[in-house]
Amino acid sequence: MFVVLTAPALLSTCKRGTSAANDAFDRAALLTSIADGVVVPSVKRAAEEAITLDAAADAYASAASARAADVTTKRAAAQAAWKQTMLAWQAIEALQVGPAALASDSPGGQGLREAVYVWPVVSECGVDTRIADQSYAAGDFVATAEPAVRDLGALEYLLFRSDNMHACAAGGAVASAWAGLDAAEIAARRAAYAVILSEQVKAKTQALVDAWAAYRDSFIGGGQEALNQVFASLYYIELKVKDRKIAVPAGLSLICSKTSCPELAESRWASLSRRNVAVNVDTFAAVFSGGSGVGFDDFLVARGAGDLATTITEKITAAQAAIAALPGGMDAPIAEDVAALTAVYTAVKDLNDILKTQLITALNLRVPREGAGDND
Amino acid sequence: MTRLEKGPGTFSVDAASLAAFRVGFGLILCVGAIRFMAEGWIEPFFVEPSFFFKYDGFAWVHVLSRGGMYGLYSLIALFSAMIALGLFYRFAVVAFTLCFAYAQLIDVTNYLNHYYLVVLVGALLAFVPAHALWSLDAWRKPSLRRATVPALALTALRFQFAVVYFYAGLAKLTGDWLLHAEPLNVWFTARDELPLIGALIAKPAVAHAASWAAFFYDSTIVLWLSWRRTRPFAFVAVLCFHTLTHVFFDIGLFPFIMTLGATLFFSPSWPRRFVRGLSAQAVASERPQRLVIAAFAVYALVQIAVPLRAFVHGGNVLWDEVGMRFSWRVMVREKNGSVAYQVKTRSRSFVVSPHDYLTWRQANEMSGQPDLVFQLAQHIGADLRARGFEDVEVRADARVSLNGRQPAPLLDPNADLLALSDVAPAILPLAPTPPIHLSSAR
Repeated sequence: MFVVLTAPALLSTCKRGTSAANDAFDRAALLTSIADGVVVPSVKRAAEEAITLDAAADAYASAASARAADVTTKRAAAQAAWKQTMLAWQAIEALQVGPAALASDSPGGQGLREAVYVWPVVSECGVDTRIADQSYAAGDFVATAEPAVRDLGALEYLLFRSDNMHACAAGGAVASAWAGLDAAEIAARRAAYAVILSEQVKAKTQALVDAWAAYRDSFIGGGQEALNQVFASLYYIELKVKDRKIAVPAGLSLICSKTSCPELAESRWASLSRRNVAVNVDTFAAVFSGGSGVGFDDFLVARGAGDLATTITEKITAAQAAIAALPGGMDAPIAEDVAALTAVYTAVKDLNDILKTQLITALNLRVPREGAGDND
Repeated sequence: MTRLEKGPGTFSVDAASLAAFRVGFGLILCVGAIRFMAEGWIEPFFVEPSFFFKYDGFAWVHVLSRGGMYGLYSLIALFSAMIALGLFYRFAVVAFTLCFAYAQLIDVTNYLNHYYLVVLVGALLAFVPAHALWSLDAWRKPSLRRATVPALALTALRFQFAVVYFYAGLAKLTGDWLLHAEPLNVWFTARDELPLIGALIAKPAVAHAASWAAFFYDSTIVLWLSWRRTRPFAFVAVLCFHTLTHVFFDIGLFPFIMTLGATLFFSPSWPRRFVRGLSAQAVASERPQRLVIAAFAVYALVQIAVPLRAFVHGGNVLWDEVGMRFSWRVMVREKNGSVAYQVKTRSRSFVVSPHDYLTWRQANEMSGQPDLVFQLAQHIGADLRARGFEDVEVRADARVSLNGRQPAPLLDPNADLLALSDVAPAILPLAPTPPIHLSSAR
């Protein structure tokens, strides 16, 4: 019966001589926009910034080791370079597909994101422990140390913590070792440690560039499954941006046991928390619009769901506006105004809700992490 | 109809059809259990979750250890094989049904209509002498060998499959399905990349045609299968329909079970066209005992009544899900939701994500089902109380899209779910808006 009722439509299609390939939405064009317009430029920019960061960290370490007069200037240059690297990296954070993702999460996954940045896992005491015992200088340190003491977050702590305190418990081994260090020695060790980490960041971001060069074509040819991977990566806006970067400092999460928790904000030492979130949302916007190329919005329009594309674009704009409207400017601590941060939370949630309800339906997308299984 | 086909008395029929069904059922479920383990599904379904949604009355069913779950599915495979072989059949079919039911009762998010069907068919087979022919039991114990079985045995299984088809058809008698061709249109347009047929199925007209075809198929196929003159054409339709559902949707064993079920409507002797030998004596069967007839009548009434509870409740079952399970509403909705719990305690307020308690798969399944959203709210409340929070209130911000509609609140966001004993009072109705209308790409 199904065959009987669908036969006329089948015949009419055959008469026109069109093929599925001709009428199908061009997913490869969308994936090309994402790859060439968002991912590859982001990883290249991160790699370039990492080169600058490594050079600046090296110069800072030399100055700190020599206790030179321009150490403050060198440190400021290294800090500025770190900020640029982190902002470049935030675009990669928001779109963890291919080599950046874990092998278990994405085709082509090589876990390179974890090699560079593991936030929200942080270990400030772990970093101070390495400073105290100088184990960062060991030849196998990068290969053997836990990720949180060798990533971009650890590097931030080393470059931006300006007092001579440590983050470990009083009365412990680190505290007693720390007591024997003067301010210049602490600065010199932090700088020396930073150089090792900046080298690691430089090497791994370059590895990511190389990996994407090799992976790009299979990504573009990945069809609906690749789109599902991209869609799943957009959940970063919920799981990390909304639920961690905003909810935790704003005291909206159980992770924070007070009315607000600025100390749990991402990039708090560098006061980059707000800009990080802005880049994350901007990256979401770039993926959705496809930049100057084909985006998810075009896919929706092609599906006859232009209204939904407009709605999502409006919600993205609203989220961007809420971030821009945070009092105190983009360099202020993210939780300085909890009410305003809550407004950002609401705007991002609105965007996330439409992503998880209508967008997923209209484009019949699936989240691979939900796993396989039968239906009925 | 030959004498053997109908049996020497009016209350018996040829055992061949039932025996073939037994073999097919055992093989399908054996392969299904092995496939479940081979696909690595034990971990995401039973090992990774830290919280499991309970069925009413079955909170005592707990997940086993990882090894225990592999053991359970191994037993399901073993008992299925024994059913197929007809080896210690009565024990095997009872053990299979209990093991399979236990596995399904562990977590509501694992519910599938065809798993429920398997449990029901397993339960019916426990009362049916499907091992009377072509079984190792009949070979090793000739006294078990029969060429005929009580007609009621075949009738019971036919009834079960007829119920599934009838209610699956009734479930399609909705505006979304018949007037808007949803959710088929959403599903079909996404398959526009398929070679040869992609361009075709992405067209809304095809989704409309397929929706009506599926409605007529489910509603009438039992009739066509039961009528000898239309049976061959009907079975071709069965093969086409279930082949297509197998190709287009990940519905696992369902097409195979339903295709096998269609053979029950054939002449009871149909397997003898293909299988010779192993003949057995036809025996006259007596009129079934009144107790047996009464038991089957009760079973039949329950099977007819249970899917009707949604109609008693009223409302849109696809939205509020009241009466959704156990009612054969197979693949009739595309529903996606976003849920966040607003928690208020004596000391502070905060938001809890379902991902804090559930796996991705569970969170996705839960998001459109009010009773599951309610169940997790109760669990969050209990968890927070155990962690020392006082005066805990839990509200759900649940926005759901049904068949691509604009997301709407599924539950009253002001309702403290911990103050309710049931989720029903908190469910908000769905505004009468049409589902999304999609078109092919060009």
